[in-house]
Amino acid sequence: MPDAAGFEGFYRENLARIARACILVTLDRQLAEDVAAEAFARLWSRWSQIHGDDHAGGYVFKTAMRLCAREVSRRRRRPPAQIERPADEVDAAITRSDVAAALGALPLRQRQAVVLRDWAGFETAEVARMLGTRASTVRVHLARGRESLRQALSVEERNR
Amino acid sequence: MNLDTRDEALAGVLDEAVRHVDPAPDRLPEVRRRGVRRRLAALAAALAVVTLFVSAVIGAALLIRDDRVDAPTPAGSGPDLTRQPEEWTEAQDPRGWTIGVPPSWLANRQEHQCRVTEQGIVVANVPLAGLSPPATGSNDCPSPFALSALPTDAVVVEVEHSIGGSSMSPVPPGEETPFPLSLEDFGSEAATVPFNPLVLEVVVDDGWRHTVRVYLGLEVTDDDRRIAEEVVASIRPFGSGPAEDVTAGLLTYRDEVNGFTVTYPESWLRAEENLMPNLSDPHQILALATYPMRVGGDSCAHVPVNALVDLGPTDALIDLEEEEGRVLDSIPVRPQHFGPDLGGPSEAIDCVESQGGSADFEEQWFYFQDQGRMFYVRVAFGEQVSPETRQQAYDILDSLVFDPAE
Repeated sequence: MPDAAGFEGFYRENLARIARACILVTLDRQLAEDVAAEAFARLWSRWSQIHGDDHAGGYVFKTAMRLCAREVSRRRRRPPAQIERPADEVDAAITRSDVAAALGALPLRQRQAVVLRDWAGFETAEVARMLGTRASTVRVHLARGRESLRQALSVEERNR
Repeated sequence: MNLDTRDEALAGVLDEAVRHVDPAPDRLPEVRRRGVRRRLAALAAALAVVTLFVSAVIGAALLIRDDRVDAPTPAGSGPDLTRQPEEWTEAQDPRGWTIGVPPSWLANRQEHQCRVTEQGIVVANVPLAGLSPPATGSNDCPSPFALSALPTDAVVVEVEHSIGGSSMSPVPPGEETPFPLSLEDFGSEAATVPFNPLVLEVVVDDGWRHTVRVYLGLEVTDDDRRIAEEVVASIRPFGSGPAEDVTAGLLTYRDEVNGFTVTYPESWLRAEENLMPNLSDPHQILALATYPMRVGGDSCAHVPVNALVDLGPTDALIDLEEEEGRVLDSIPVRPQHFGPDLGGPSEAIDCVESQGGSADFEEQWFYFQDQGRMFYVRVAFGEQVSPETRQQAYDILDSLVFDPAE
């Protein structure tokens, strides 16, 4: 029997983080919350096989990112009339409209790489595993994504 | 600039932008319900797989047993039952018509003298001679096989020539039927559940009635259905010269430098140059497409961007790359067959869009190891690609033979 209390604690502790990551990738709060819920549902379906919060965290992030990518691709393929949302509704997910615009101008993979590496703090190799690609590819996405964001947002590089 | 370090300034900006988002955890019951449903679905799927596996084992055992039986030959049938295990071959019927026989399918010549004279040939993916008791045709002549005894995944292509007999209606007038035949031109015959044959009366000016029937079982696989279409297309009448080799139209390319061999349809083009000259590891060793490919691209060195920009709605492209060095244990071994379920989309669409191209294509990217070597594959299809072209792409990948790692 899966540990329901343990899952609930993990869910409460990590829901906001996953939802925020999905917002940064999809730029759509409703979609991001739906994706986060689905990612946690998938985590719950495998909860008894997943040991430790680190493992669970990696799993739910990876699942969420894949779902985000799928949804973004689906939207891109739909006729515009089906995906248009009021601008203020989209922007409401992200307080700074210039950030939303800068993220929106990035190709999906660059956006995911920057969000996972810089915002979420995963190591490059972990990001590569989550995105199903190579670390070298992630570095390329990171370099391009960061450069575009820095220019758009006038942010100076500050590495740690 | 060290790419492996985290950019805290960007992290701060992004964090500030979404810090206010704090969804209430009130969807927890829904999350749990959906999770339970997924778990039950996975369990059901696992049970189905086990059931299928057990059924397959039992089925295989029965087939093996059938094969070992000296099957009685139906009355009047020529004992021409032969296995064709390696490649397509050509069989000829008593009237001189020829037909392609796919690997592991069976050809059985037919010759009866009854109220009418019937000759022909049957090509099937199951052994017909072992299906007993021998059936009786509607006109009291022996039938080459009993429909009721055929397994539901059987495919049978029957070419029948008949002449004579008072009950036989005259040969239908009309223009001679053009070859190759296509299943699209076939019509349905009276229902014979579960084998409702598709039928085509073939008009050849020789006084005989020629009928081609295709029996497709209810559970026939897509592969076998496709092969049936190819078998039909391979049928040639007597006097039309040597039948076209059904394997013709394929080119085999041997790359000594990169150590592999590939076979692909003549209608596909092989890139003479590396489409990604700025990508060194992995590096492209093969690119094939249904259209001419341009080298390079401005947006991504690791994607054949120019070639993908040119990909049309009915086009397909294959990009094969090899990575040097030690093969990691985590790299999956080469699948038995390549197909649409492998891998997923890469960043190629982003790269094409970055260069102003259209993202109206689908793409899958996956990797595997074979012969101690590590490969990456990108397959891209236009949105209106035909099932045939799509299958050709996977057949090309299946045809790859790699030399062992040095």
